[in-house]
Amino acid sequence: MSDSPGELLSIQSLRVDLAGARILDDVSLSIREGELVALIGANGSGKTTLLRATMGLVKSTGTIHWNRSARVASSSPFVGEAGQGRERQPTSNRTPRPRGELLAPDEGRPAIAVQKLHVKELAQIVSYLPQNPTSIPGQTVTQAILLGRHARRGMLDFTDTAEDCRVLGESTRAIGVEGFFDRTLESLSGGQRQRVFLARCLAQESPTLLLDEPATFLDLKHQVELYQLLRKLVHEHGRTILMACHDLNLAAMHADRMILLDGGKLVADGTPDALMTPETIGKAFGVRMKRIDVDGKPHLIPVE
Amino acid sequence: MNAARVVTVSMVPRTLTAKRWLACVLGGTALLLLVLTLSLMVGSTGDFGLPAGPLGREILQTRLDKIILAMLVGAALAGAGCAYQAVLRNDLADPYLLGISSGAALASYLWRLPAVANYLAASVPILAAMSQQGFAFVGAIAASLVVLFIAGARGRFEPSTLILTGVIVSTVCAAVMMLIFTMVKSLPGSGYFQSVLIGELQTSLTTQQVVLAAVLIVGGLIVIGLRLPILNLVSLSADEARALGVNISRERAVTLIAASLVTAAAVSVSGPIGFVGLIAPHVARRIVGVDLRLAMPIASIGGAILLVAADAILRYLAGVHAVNTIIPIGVATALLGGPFFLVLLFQKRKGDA
Repeated sequence: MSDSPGELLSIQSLRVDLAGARILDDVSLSIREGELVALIGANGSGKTTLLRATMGLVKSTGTIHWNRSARVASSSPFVGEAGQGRERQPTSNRTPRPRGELLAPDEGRPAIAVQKLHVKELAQIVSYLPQNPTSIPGQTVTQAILLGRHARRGMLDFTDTAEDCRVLGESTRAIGVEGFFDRTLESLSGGQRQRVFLARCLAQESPTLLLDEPATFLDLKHQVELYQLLRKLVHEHGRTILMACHDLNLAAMHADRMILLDGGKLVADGTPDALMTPETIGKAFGVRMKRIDVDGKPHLIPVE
Repeated sequence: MNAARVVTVSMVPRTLTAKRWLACVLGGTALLLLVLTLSLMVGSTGDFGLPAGPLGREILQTRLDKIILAMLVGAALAGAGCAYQAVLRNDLADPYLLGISSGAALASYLWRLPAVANYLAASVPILAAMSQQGFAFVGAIAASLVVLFIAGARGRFEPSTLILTGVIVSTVCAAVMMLIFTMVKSLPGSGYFQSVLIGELQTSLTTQQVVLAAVLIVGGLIVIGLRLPILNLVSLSADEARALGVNISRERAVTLIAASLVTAAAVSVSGPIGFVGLIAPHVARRIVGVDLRLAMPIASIGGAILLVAADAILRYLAGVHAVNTIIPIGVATALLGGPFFLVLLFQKRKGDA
C-alpha cells in the first residue's frame, strides 16, 4: 500500500465470509487524520462486520493496514497540557514491544497489517466501542474509564498511577462526565453511560476511534449532543472517528465524509452533499426519498 | 420541588492507588490475625484461653496446625472463586458449585485406594510417584473441561446452565465415591470418607503434604494475583477485551488452569468444602468494590477468616455438649452458603425482571 501522509487506516479488497455467507465483498477504503467518517447502510449491510474486521476480530481476506506511527494530533489539549517536553514515541519503553518475529517484516514502515499488530499495540492506536458495551454491575465510572488504561500500562503496573489519574481527568472533562466519578454505571442514564464508554476510549489515548452505532438507545436530544461531542473530539481533541450510524440526517449534518454499504459492498464514498441523493440512498435502503436542504445541509425524508 | 434536592458531586476520583491498596490489604490481614488469635484460644472441651499444663504446648500446636490449614484452604477457595467468577462472567461461580472441587476430591480419593496405588506402582511408576495433589489437579482439570464443554456447547456460557452442569458433575462424582466406598472396604483412615464427601480439614496429614499444598496454593494465587488488572477486563465481552489490549483466550486459559491448580491443592488436604468461593468474593466486593485488584486479595483474606472462624465455632460446639464429635467444616459452610446462594439467586431474578 502507499504510505500516504495522514492516512491512518487503509483497507484493500476486504472480504469476510461468516457461516458460508459473504458479509463483506471487495471493500476498499481509507481513513485520514482528522476526519469524522459516518458508515451508513441498511441493517445487515455489513457495518458492524466491517468495524470488527478492521479490529482483527473476524477472519477476513484482503488487507487491513493501520498506521502504527499515528499519534493523537498535536493540536489536542491532551498533548498540550502534559505532553510538552515529553517524548510521545510510538513504542515508549513503558509499553511492551510486539513480538519480534511478527514485527520483523514490517519494521520501519508505519503501515502494518492488523493481524501482525500485538493486541496491546493495536489498543494504543485505535479504540473500538461495540454496539452494546458491557457494564459490570457495581463498577464505578472511575473504574470503567480506567479500564481503557490497560493498553498503556506495563506488565508490572498494578495500581493506578498519577498518569492514569491525569488521563482520567482529561477524558472526563472532554466528555463532560466529571463529577460522576463514584457513581455506579447502572445508576447512570443511557446517555451518560454512553459518554462514560466514550471516555474509556479516550483514556486509551489512541488517535482513532471506531464506534458502532453509539447513538442507539438515546433520545433525540442526547443523539444531537453525542454528535456534537464527536465533532468536538475530532476538531478539538485531535481524534479521527469512523462510526457506524443509523440516522442519515444527523450523520450528514456532522460527518465530514460518508461511506455507504449495501449488501456487503461499498457503493458510495464521499461528502454528505454528494452522497445524500434520493437515488443513491433510496436504492440502498429500498425506500423512496426526497431531499430537503436545511442551512446548507442535506436532509432526506422517506416519501410514499 | 426539585430545587432543594441535594446533589452529591465528587470531584476527586476514587482511584486504586498503591497506598489505598496497601491500607486495605494490611487492614484485612490485621483482622485475620485477630480472628486467628481468638481461634487459638478456643478448646475442644469448651474451655477458652491458652491451654496450660504439661500438654499445653502440644494442644496449642494441634490447634495451630488446623488453623494454618483452614487459612490456606479458605484463601485458596476464595481466590479461585474470584478467578472463576471473572473468567466465566458468572458471579454465582464457586469451585464447589462448578463441580471442580468434587472432581479433584474423587481423583484424590482414588489415589488413596490401596488397590489403585499398588496397580500404579507396578505398571506406571511415574503416576504413582505423582502425589495426591497431582491426582487432584488432574481431577480438577478433567471436571472443569467436562463442565465447560457441556455448558459451553452453544458457544456461550448461560450462567444457570453452567452452575447446573457443575452441580450435576459434583453429584455424579459423589455417587462414584459412594459406590467405591461400599464396594471396597479397605479404606485408609477413619472418618476419611465423610471428609472427601463434604469436606473437612484433615488432621492426619504429613508435613510434606501440607507444605506441598501450601506451595501450590500460594504459587497459584500469585499467578492469579499478577493477572488481576487483566481479569478486570476479562469480565467484558470478548470483543471489548481484545479492543482494550487483552489476549482474552490466553488469559482465560491461564487463569482457569491456575484456579484449578489452587482448588486441587486445597481439596487434596480438605475435601470439597463448598461455598467459601462464593461467600468471600461477594462480601469482599460489598466492602471494597468490584475492582478485582483489591477485591480478590480481600476475598482471599476473607475466605481464610471464614474458615478459621468456622473451625473455632465447630470446635467450641463439640465442647459444650451440643454434639459429641467435631462436625465437618463442609457442613458449616454448606449451611451458611446454601441460603446465601439462594438469596443471591433471588436478588438476581429480581434484578432481571
